[in-house]
Amino acid sequence: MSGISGILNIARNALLVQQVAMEVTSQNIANVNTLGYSRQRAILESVGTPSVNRLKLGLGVQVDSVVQYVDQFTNRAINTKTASAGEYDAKAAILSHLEAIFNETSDQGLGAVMNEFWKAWQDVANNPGGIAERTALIERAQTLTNQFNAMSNDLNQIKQSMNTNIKATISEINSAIKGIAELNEKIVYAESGQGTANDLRDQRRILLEKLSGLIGTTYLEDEHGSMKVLTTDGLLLVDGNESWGFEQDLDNIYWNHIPSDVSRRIHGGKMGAWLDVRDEIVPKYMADLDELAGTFISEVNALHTAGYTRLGETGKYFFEDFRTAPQTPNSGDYSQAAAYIKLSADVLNHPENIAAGGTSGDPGDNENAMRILALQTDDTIQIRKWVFENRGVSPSFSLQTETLDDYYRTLTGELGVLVGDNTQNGAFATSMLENLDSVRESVSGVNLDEEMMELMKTQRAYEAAGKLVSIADEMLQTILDLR
Amino acid sequence: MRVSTRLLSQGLQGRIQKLSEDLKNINEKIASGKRINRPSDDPIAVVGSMTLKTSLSQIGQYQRNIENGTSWLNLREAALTQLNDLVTRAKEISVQMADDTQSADTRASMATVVGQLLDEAIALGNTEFGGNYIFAGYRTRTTPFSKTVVGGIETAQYNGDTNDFQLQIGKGETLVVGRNGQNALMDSNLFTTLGTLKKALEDNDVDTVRLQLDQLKGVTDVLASELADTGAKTSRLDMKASVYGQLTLTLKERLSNVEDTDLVEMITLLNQKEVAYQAAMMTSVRVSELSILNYLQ
Repeated sequence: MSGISGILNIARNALLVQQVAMEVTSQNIANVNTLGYSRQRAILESVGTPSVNRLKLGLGVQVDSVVQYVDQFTNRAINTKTASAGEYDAKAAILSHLEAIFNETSDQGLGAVMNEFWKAWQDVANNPGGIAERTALIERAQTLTNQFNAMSNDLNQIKQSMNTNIKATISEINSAIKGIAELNEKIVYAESGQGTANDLRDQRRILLEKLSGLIGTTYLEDEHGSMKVLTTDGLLLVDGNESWGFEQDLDNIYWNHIPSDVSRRIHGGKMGAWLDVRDEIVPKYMADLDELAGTFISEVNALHTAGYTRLGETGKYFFEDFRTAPQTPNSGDYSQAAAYIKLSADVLNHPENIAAGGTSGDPGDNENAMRILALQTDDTIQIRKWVFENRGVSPSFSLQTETLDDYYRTLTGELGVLVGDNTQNGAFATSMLENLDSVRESVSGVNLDEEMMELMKTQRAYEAAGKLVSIADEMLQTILDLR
Repeated sequence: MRVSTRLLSQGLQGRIQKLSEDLKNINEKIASGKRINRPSDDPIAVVGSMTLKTSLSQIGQYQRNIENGTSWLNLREAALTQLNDLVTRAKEISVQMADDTQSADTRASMATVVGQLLDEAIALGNTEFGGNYIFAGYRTRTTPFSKTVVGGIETAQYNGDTNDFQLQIGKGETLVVGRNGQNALMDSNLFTTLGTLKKALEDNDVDTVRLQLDQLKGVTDVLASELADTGAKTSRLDMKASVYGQLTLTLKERLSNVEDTDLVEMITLLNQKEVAYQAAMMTSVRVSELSILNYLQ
C-alpha cells in the first residue's frame, strides 16, 4: 500500500504507538515512589519494507516490546543481604532487652546486690551476737535471691516470647510463599504468548524480598518464567504454582507437615534471629546465671552447715538446699538454680539460726562468718561456663576457676560484646543493602525529570503524527477538488 | 550514575535518621553524665567499672571494720591503762603497809581500799563496747568477771572463753581486737593477788603483804606487754586506714575516668552533629525543589 492512504496509515500507526509510549511513561511516573518498581520503556521499531515495493519505503512504526530495566545480579545480592539485615535488626531489639536485664551500669544490677550481700556478712562478722546485723543479712540475702529469680524469670519470658514471634513469622512466611506460587502461575500464563509480565514480576520480586527478610532464601527461575524458592538450607518452599510452608508445635517447627523438627535448618531473616535467641543466646545466659546461683547455694551452704548458730546448733542451711527439696536440680546440675534459689526455712525469719560461729554459738564467735565472706574474694572457686552452638544441640561447658564476682563480670562483658557485634554487623548489612539498593535504583529507579522529557518527546511525536493526518487530509482534499 | 527520584529522597531520609540517632546517643551521655549506659557501649569499660565498684565496696567495708576495731582497741587500751594505774596504787599500798611501823588498824583500813581496788579491777575487766564485753573471748554477752571467794580469799571468776575476737581488715587479713580475759588478765593473777593482799592486810600479816609486792610486779609486766600489743595494733590500723583512704581516692578517680562523660568532648561532638543535621535538612529542602517542572510552561 502506498500513496496518500499509505501516509494516513503510517500516521495512524504513529499516533497509536506514541499513545502506548505515553502510557508506559505514565506508568513510570505513577510508580515513582513504589518500592521495588522497575521502570519500563516502550521499544519502538520501524516497520520493515515490503519486498514488492521497488522504492523500499517503510510502513511506519510499531512497538517492539515494553522492556523492564532490571539488574538480575544486584537483585540476587539484595535478596541475600535482606536476610542478614533482617536477622540483625530483629536480634537487636531482643538483645537490648537482654542487656537491660544484665545492666550493670546502673547501681541496681546483680553485681551491686552481690556486693551488698557480702557487706551484710561483714557486719555480722563485726558483731556476731547482734540480731540487727543478722536480720539485715537475711534481708540482703533475700534481695539477692529475688534478683536471681527476677533475672531468670525475665530470661525465660524472652525465650517464651520467641515462640510467639516465631508463630507470627511463620504465618507471614506461609502467606508470602503462597503469593509467590500464585504469581508464578500468573506469570507463566501471561508470558505463554510472548513478552514479559513486567508488573507481575515486580510483585513477585517484592514478595521474595519480603520473604528473605523473614527467612534466608535462594531462588532459580526456569525457562517458562516460573520461580523455584528454597531456604538457604535447602528446604523447598515454592515450585511452580505449589508451595510448602511451616507449622509450629510448641518448640518444634515442622515443614510440609512432616513431624520432624527443622528449626536447626532455618537461618537468616527474622526466623533465624528468633531461633538464635531462643536456642543459643538466652539458654547460654540462663545456664551461666544458673551456674552462678547454684555455686552460691552450694558454696555458702557447705560453709554454713558446718558453722554454729547463735543457739549453738550446727547443720543449718542458709539457702534452700538442692538435696532437701523436691523437684529441684540435683547437686552438680545447677539448671534452674537461678529460678529456684531462696533462703532456707532454717534462717528465714530466724536470724539466730545464721551460723556465724566457727566453734560455738557464743555471741563473739565470728569465725564462720569470716569464712563465708572470704568466698567473695576466693579465686579458686570452680564454676562452669556454657556454650550453646548449633541451636543448642549439644551444649558444652568449660570449667573456670575464678571468683564469683569475676564470673559475673565476665558474663556481663560478653553480653556487651555480643550486642555490640550485632549492632555493628547490622549496621554493616544495612549499609550494604543501601548501597545495593542505590545500584539497583540507578538501573531500575524512576527519575521524574527523565520521564518528563520522555513525555515531551512523545508528545511532540504525537503532535507531529496528528499534523501528518491533517496534511494527508489536505492532500486528499486537493485531489478531490480537481475538476 | 543514574539517580532515581526515590533514591534521592530516601538517601536524605536515611542520613537524617542516622544523625538523629547520633544526637539521641550524645544527649543520653550528657544527660546521664555517664559515658557508658549499657554493656554494649563499651564492654571492657563496663567490666572495669564493675571491678572498681566491687573494690570500692570492699574497701569501704574494710574501712568500717577498721573504725570498729579502733574503737575496740581504744577501749582496751583505756581499760589496761587504768588497770595499770590501779596496780601501781596497790604496789604503793603494799610498800607502805610492809613497813613495820604501820599499826594493825591502819592496815585494816587500807584493806578496805584494796577491796575497792579489786572491785574496780573487776569492773574494768567487764568493760563493754556496743553491748559486747571486750575481755570475754567469744562470750561477748556474758559478764566475764564476777567476784568470788576461794579459800577465804576474794578474787574474780572468769566466765568467758579463751578465744580472741578478730575482725577482717583486708583481703585474707584479720586482726585480733578483743583479747580473751583469761590470757590478758586472769593468767597474771591480778585478782587473786589483790584479794590476797586485802586478806593479809586484814589479818595484819606483814610477810604476806611483802610477798604480794613481787606478785604485783609480775602483774605490771603482763599489763605492760598487753598495752604494747594494743598500741602496735592501733598503729597498724591507723596505717591501714590511711592506705585505704588514698586507695579510695585513686579508685574513684579511675572509676570516673572509665564511666563519666567528658562533657567538653561530648558538647563539641553535639555541635558537630547539630551542624550536620541542619545541613542535611537544608539540603533535603533544596534538592526536593529541583525539578524540570519548574521550567516547563
